Amino acid sequence: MSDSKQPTPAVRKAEPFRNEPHTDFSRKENREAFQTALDDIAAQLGGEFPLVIGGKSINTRKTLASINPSRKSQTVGVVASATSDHAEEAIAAANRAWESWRYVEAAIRAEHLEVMAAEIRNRRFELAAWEVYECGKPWAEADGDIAEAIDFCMYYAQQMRELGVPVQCDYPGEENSYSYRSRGVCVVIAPWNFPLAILTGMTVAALVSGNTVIMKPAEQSSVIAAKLMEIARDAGIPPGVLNYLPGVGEEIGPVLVESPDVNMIAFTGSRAVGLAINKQAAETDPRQRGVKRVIAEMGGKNAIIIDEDADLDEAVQAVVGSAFGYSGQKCSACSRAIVLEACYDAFLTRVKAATESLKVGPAEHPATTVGPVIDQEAFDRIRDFIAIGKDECTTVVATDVSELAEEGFFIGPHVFADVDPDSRLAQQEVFGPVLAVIKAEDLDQALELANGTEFALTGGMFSRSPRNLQRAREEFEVGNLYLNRNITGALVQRHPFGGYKFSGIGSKAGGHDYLLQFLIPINISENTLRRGFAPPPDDEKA
Amino acid sequence: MANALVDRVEQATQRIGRDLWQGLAQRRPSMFEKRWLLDQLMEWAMADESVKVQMFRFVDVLPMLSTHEAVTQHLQEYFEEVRTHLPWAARLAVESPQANTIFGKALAYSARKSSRMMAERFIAGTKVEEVLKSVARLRRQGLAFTLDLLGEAVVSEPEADAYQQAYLDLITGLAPHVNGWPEDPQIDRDEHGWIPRCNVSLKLSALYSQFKPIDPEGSAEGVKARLRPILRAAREHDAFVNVDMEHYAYKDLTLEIFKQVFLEDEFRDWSDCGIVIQAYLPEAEDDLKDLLAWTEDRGTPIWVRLVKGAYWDYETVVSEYRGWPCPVYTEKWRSDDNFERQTQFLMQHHNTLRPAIASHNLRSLAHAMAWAEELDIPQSGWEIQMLYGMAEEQAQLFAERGHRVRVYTPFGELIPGMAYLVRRLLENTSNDSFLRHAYDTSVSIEELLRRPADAALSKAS
Repeated sequence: MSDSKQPTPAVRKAEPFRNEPHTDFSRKENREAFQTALDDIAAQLGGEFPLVIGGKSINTRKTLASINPSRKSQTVGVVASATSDHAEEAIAAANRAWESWRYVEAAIRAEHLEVMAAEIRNRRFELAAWEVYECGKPWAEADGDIAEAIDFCMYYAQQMRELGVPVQCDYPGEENSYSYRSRGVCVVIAPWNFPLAILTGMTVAALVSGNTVIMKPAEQSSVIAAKLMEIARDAGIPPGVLNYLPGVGEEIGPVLVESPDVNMIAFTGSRAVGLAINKQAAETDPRQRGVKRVIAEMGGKNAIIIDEDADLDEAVQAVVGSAFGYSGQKCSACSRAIVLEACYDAFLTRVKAATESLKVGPAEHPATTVGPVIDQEAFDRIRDFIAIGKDECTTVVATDVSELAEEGFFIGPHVFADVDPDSRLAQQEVFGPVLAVIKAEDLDQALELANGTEFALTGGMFSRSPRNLQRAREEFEVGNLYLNRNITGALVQRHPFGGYKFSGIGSKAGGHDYLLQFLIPINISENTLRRGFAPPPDDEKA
Repeated sequence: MANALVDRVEQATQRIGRDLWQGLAQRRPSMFEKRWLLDQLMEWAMADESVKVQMFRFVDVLPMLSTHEAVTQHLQEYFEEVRTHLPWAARLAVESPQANTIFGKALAYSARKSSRMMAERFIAGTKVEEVLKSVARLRRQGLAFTLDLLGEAVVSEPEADAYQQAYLDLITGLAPHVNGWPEDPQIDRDEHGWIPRCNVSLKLSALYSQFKPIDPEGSAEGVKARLRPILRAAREHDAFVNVDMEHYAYKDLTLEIFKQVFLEDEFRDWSDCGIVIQAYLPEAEDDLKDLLAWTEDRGTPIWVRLVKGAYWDYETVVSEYRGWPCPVYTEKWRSDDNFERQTQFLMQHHNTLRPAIASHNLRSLAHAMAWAEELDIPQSGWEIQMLYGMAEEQAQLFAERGHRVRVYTPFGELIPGMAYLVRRLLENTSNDSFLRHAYDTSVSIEELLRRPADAALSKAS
């Protein structure tokens, strides 16, 4: 073809998309509105949230209490706890609903997402306030999570509108059409750390692709999930298309994953659970429709490399922000700073002082930078890691928050230096406010250390050497590489998010090929030649 | 009536502007020569946007580089991409040397030297002794000063303590010294009497590491705790304290803290304080009106430094990145126009809000002088402020004509000073820069003195 002589363009531009702006809290009216929402929700805490299966609300004998991590004595909501029978019911309901939902036009499904986005936008501060109480998210972090949920709805809607149009490749006498079908029933198992965004992202991706969904939220964030269920229902998602199934993961998780009537599992959480799901899902039952598809976002052991010529003003702030924002409970959080010898001392001195200056406190207070950790289990696990750090490394910062810890699950930020690259502290995901600082002789060693874990999620480098930045581009093994900036806060479409190695299976959330995972591509060829006569191809008809 | 007034002021602006232009014409060449090399470098950078970006980035990283190998390596890396845009001599420098050859070392040396010269042009020194020399030199030229300590970003409480201590040392160290100087009535007095010679400008965000607009109460507490001792020291030693403006996100909080602290009993009756209003913000007008009402209530005047604003690039980039409305005027003429309107406002309320008109723009300053003339404000009743190392000829000329000119004089280490330096370089190399046109013979006086709104019209046509 003569077209092949055209030079390949050097860059391909992403489709236009406008992210939902974060709230500007320097504006008084926004601060006041947020405080009002917090006060309003405070009055609503402690309500009950039943399961929703096939459009019906179901109360259960057993319940889960969702509590405020900043104040252990405060119950945010009492949530129904599904049994394995409920799980079977939910699967059956989703399966029935799929028979009609799969045939709803892609554009209509997309419109449902846009309505959901509008509703989330309307209730923005209210939802953020729920997160502040239920997950201990400080104001701005909670606000960012709501904005991201809106982005997922809008972006996947936009993507599906495009994917919903078949690609024609017609020849005289033959019409070829490439299009997508849904997979069937999708189980969404979501974490608590981005309680609305990640849950919404996985759920609406499945819905807009024509799948029906069983939403299994994390126990710690089931109230916010109930809010999403409300919003979906109000947006006209039909009964059974989306089901709300809170409960204890260990009890209902295996039932959901192993069911022959489940076709897909979308999971975000720990490496151990992700791998277990992948293994269970690989078992084939003769009754099932096909091989199950698993996508899993797992952990990270993310590093930021500080080169000799780094701008330390920026590097210190980015490392501290990435390590201790939301108490380090982000898959993208920085848990290792790998610092070149030449600037090691200067960097460490400033990181120490900056970390010690952070405000630790209840998430409700706007001054708080570092809130509580999510629950007792997390509290104990992180304390174990801190004990290892104190035992094996040089303790640089050990913030004492024992007074706060009587009220909630507070752990102050910790920084350890002289960390052995092979130690548990340098290798395992802590998911808490703990930073390991490691010295590197040169960039070769820094990159080797950075790549020396089983994870490959996010990573960063501060450098002002174009050549060294180029090396990071080529050699740093991470799914999301951030140069001269913080390594958290990925935005939909701008920073499609996800890793490889043991950080994840599947393509990136908020990226242009994410929806494809929820779809089955189908090609249809029709011979249109009858008795030597064929209708003209489509483009000539017009 | 209103139109007649506007016309009259406009005519005066034109008259004064032309007169100043004449005065400047006579002093241009000699001053020009001294800075030939630097101007040359900047001319060269301005000629090509890609070279400019690489050059500023190189200048920015330079102080962090400890070996000549590192300097040569960075120089090559930065200019590799834009090699074809470079003049031949520069190309030779980028392409040939090995870091360890004599040529390589010479190259590193000369890069360092050029960048130091650039810094020295805009930064008055690193230590207080050097600063003292610089301000003494300014005074010999009939110029007043305000000192600004260039610091690293304050990311921790010890750093905020250090910033506070540096200002305390500055005031207690410098004020007694400069107060011993023989009097120069033109810069030591205003229409009401003696004014402090030692004048410092500080940034509130540097006084508290957790300065966050989301938490105005906590931020205010943190800032005020470190600000009060500085204010006390200033009062005790007859020094003046000006609160600088920073990014738009900090503006409301900065104004709020200023208003809180200067309403406290201890400082309420103190007039040797001031704040900044940025004319590139459409909100400048409301903020000034609000300040006027607040100052009337306080009962003691304050100074207001009117500037166009130094974070224009940052504000436009960041607001677009975040999807927020752009807080600054995106067309330069609108900032200029707003500057004139707020100048008028300040002049009309000069007894309450004492005007410090900070600009290098001939038209803006001529316009301010015209309003002062119109309202019969004596030259000592307001002041002109300019930046150290910029438009020195203008500063001299205004001083000779009886104005009090205060030079905003930054000092400090080079690494933390880089952000300031790059802002100055950007200003000096921008296409809209008045300074850039100051020596440009192709720009006519008519054009330089054109009313901002008319400049917009002529651009559109």
